[in-house]
Amino acid sequence: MEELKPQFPFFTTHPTGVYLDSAATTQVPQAVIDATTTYLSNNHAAVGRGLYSESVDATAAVEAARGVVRDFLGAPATADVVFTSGATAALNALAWGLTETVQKGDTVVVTIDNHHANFLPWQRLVQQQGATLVTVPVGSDGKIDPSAWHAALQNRPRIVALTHASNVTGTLHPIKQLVAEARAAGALTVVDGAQAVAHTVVNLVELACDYYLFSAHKLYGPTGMGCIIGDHRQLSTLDPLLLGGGMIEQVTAESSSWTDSPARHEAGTPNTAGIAGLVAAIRWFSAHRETILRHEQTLIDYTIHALQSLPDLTLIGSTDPSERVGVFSFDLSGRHAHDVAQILAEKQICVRAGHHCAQPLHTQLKLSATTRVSVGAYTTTADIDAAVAALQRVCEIIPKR
Amino acid sequence: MSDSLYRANLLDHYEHPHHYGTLDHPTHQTEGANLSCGDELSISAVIKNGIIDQVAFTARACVVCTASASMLLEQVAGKPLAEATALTVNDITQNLGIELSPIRLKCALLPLETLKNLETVARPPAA
Repeated sequence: MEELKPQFPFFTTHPTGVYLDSAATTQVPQAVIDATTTYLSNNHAAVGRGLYSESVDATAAVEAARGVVRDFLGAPATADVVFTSGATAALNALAWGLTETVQKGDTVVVTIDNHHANFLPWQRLVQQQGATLVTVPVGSDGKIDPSAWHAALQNRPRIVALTHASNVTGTLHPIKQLVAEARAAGALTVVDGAQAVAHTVVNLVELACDYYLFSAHKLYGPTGMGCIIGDHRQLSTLDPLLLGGGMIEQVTAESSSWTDSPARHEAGTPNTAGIAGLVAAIRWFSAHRETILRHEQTLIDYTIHALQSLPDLTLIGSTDPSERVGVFSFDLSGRHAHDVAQILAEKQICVRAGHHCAQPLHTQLKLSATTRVSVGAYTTTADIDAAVAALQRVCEIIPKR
Repeated sequence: MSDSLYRANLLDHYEHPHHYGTLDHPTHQTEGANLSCGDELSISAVIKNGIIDQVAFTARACVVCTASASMLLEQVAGKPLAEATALTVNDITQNLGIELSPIRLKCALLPLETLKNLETVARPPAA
């Protein structure tokens, strides 16, 4: 968007580049870069234990950051914010912490449009515990198959792991309803918001899931930064994945005990520069959220129509803009996604090709790989036009299969 | 900018690959896949006295992988198997004549890696 795009230095460095890979990682606005640089230049200090003022200030900034995340997601006052290195680390920490919740014969439910980070930790958990992973398919519109979903819930699963928005189909799931149904079936609910937090309004009081998580680098923030949001008492019972400094209650030569959440799940020196960047990203996004979401809705509608103008293109997921985020995966009549993305790359158009860390979904779709276009606050209709023109060129160069 | 990776000769090998198909009575057979992108390749061969007498492939793969397979099989047909399996990355990139990123190099190398895994086809015992 012309109004916000100049705030992203990437587009000054790449004036002719077309960036359509925001679902993989968003570009970073100057405000976030400045906040990270300012922290590292002026405020950098070890947190938690220093008695000097710089350490006290850095510690206070980390604690205040938890409030910023809580406010951003409309989380209840009792919610903890645990800082992780990203959504993948968050999901691994949760699956590890919830291991003993699942016993032999139990089921854990995942939807097939989960990316591997919200699939593999649960797969390992059930294998370790002698439990069963139930994978709920999605329809061609990207929506969860209702009969398979309700059948899965009838087994009273211990855990249901959902994605708020799919990184392949772009489907924005009716997450509040899904969480309510899973909880009514007695399940703990884990919702991966990695593809949602920058594209919709999240209110965790209303959503009422047990655990929500996201990563900063899909929210105009830095890489290596993410969060788990959950109830303080629940998080304080989970076995920590990482052990080390800052998370102990007492350590003796024979045994040790852990402190409560959030420190319980944050062994080691926290990524304070990342936290500074995350806070700046949330503030920047929140200041522009209404404009960005309105822009993205227009862009989603535009992109669907533009892509559908290509006769060889089959779009994965719903064609209703209200059911989507700006993630568009497609097949181009059998032309391999790597060939498609390569030709676009030669035209300085950045898209993603492959299975997007969602192999089970691609297996269900009977596609080995798809090409993915995804949008962000800085994406323009001219970017979409450039991509569609390049895709047309691909169709001319490479014969369909 | 030209579509440099997709030169006419590569596309010709993609559209009309040499040695494409299956053999009726192969002595050797193998399959390969690049799981990260979904390229799949199957190679069958008749090897007589250590010489690749016949060789054929089928593929569900990208332009780079398919063209690489076509060029490779053209190169190794009639040659000693030992010579074929001694081929290197450089031989493959020379065949293709293009610069490849690390990800696309995996596409280009799949046929050679698959060829190196050729295994003897088990025959049912004679009646």
